[in-house]
Amino acid sequence: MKLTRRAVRIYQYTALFFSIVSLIFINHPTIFLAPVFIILTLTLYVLRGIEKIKKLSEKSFEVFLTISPNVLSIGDKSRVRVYLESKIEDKLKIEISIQLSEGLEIDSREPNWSGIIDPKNNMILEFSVKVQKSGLLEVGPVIIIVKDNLELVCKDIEIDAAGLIYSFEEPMRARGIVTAPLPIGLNYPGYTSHPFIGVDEQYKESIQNNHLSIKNIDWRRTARAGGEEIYIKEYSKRRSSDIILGFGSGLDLEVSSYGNVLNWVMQVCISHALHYLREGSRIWILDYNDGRPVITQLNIRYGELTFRKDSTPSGGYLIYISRLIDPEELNSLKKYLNTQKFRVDILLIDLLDEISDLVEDRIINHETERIKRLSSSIQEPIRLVKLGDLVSNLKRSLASR
Amino acid sequence: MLLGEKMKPSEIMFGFLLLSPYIYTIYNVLSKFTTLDYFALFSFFSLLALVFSRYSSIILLSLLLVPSLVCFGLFVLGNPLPLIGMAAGYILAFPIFTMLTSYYERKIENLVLTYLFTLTLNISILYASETKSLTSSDLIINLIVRVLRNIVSGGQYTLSQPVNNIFTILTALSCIVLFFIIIKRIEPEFPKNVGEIIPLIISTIITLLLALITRVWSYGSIIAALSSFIIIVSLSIILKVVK
Repeated sequence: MKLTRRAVRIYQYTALFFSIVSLIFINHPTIFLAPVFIILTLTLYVLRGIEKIKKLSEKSFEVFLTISPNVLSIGDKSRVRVYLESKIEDKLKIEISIQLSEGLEIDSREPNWSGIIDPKNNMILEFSVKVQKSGLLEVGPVIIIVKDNLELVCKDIEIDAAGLIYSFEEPMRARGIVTAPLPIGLNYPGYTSHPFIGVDEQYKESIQNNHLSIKNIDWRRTARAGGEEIYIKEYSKRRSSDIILGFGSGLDLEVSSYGNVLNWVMQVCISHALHYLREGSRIWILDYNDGRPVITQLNIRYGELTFRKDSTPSGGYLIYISRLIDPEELNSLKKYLNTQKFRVDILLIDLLDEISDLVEDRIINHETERIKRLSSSIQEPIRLVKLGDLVSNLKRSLASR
Repeated sequence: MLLGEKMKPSEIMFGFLLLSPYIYTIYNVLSKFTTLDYFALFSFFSLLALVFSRYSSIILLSLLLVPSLVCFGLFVLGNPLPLIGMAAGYILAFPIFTMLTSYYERKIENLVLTYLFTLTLNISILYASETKSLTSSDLIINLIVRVLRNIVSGGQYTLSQPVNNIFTILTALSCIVLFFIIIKRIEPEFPKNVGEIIPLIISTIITLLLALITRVWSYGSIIAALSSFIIIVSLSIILKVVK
């Protein structure tokens, strides 16, 4: 809760006038009356204003933030639409501003709005942004400044309604969804067009888990294949799983051979996730975002990748890629996601090879110790991964989902 | 928007009440003039005409510039009275002119600042006119000599009791109207209910009470102490709020 510029200025001017004029120059009762009246009235209205807006919180508003498109390449434009609904019966004077992360530039209109809202008159703000750099860029949070009727006091309310924009260096389109059945000539049992899972491994895995139950065998398809191949129903079910790709702390740094590590890691993850998306899996992107986790669902719509904000997984497989710089990181995530419902696989990124030439031995030793300590202390499944081995480790993690 | 244009009768009344201490000062000064000083009157009305008139600014500027040049010429030729008369007229009109030009100020804090500044000037003019009879040159000399002497010496103004009482009451009313105008400007629908005007009523009662106390103990230390106390308490509350 704070005073508006208007109220502060009136107080300043009146106090200045009172102190200089009445006490130094002119000792006249009239000079007392004006400041006393102004300050007294102002104070009473300020207190009244505080009383009115002190109970307001982020629960008093509902914000919907949509970004379209939200997966694009550098130089592209995206349209942001913010819809604000008030749950308070009274009319409220508000100012809204939407924060933009570095790399996003306003293209048309402004991400600000001021006016009066009530449950009948909602606010819709539209503007477009231009993407200037690659990586995961954030639109939000939405900051609402609520003022009292006389605009003497105001309260800042930050609503965590962030939207994500992922930008690639070059345009990227998802390939068309393959709906055709198995290619002719590859008559291995349990074959899939999956590029990362070996045929045998896939087959073995599915058989291992399911062969005990004869009910799981897809007899119709097995018969259609001439009886030489066995198809298991459970197999296709398992392929469409819920996967969360999480990106943690300590990755947003520049390394000569990879550029920005976070951008590179995300690009690798998203390009690999595309295959799973095509197969029917649901993919979410989780950005740790310095303790303010943001989660969005990755979708393919008419061949275009998009992020969908209003969707959170209730369970699934979390592949969390991080350097775990923030000591509270895993606790924050546990609070954010109900981790009991998630199977977690942490890929702890080791950048020692990349930074060994750039930093002193002392720092390298410290980092080595830190990584060892983390590897041994964390209870969740954790794998130490060098950046060069990330792709293969990621494939393995995705395959074992 | 030009001042006075499309103003409702209530707005005109509020404007009149806001300017009442200034109008009273002008009346008080002009009523004490022994001889009618046309130069003072001319400069007074020409300055106010800038605010009210719809005529071309070139004509209005010539209304200001030509007489000023003539007076300056007469001053060079050895007759300073017309120039002093014009200056007296401008000084008399200046507080009300400043207040009127700031009336539609977008930032209300600036309106408050202008009001307080012009009020100070108004008291100085009123004090300078505290003689039985007055001429333009007396007003100028009093304003320079008496006011400056008091500022330097830290002395108190001694307005005559009736002048002081009327002026104090008018200032109190003017302050209330100033706030009402400000609130109406921010919130045109004000007041929607009685609760909204309660703070204004409370401070009005206190201010009028102070005005009445002033009548009994003019320049009394009780008022100074009470006023200072209210200001200190209010500022303390506000500083707590800001933190």
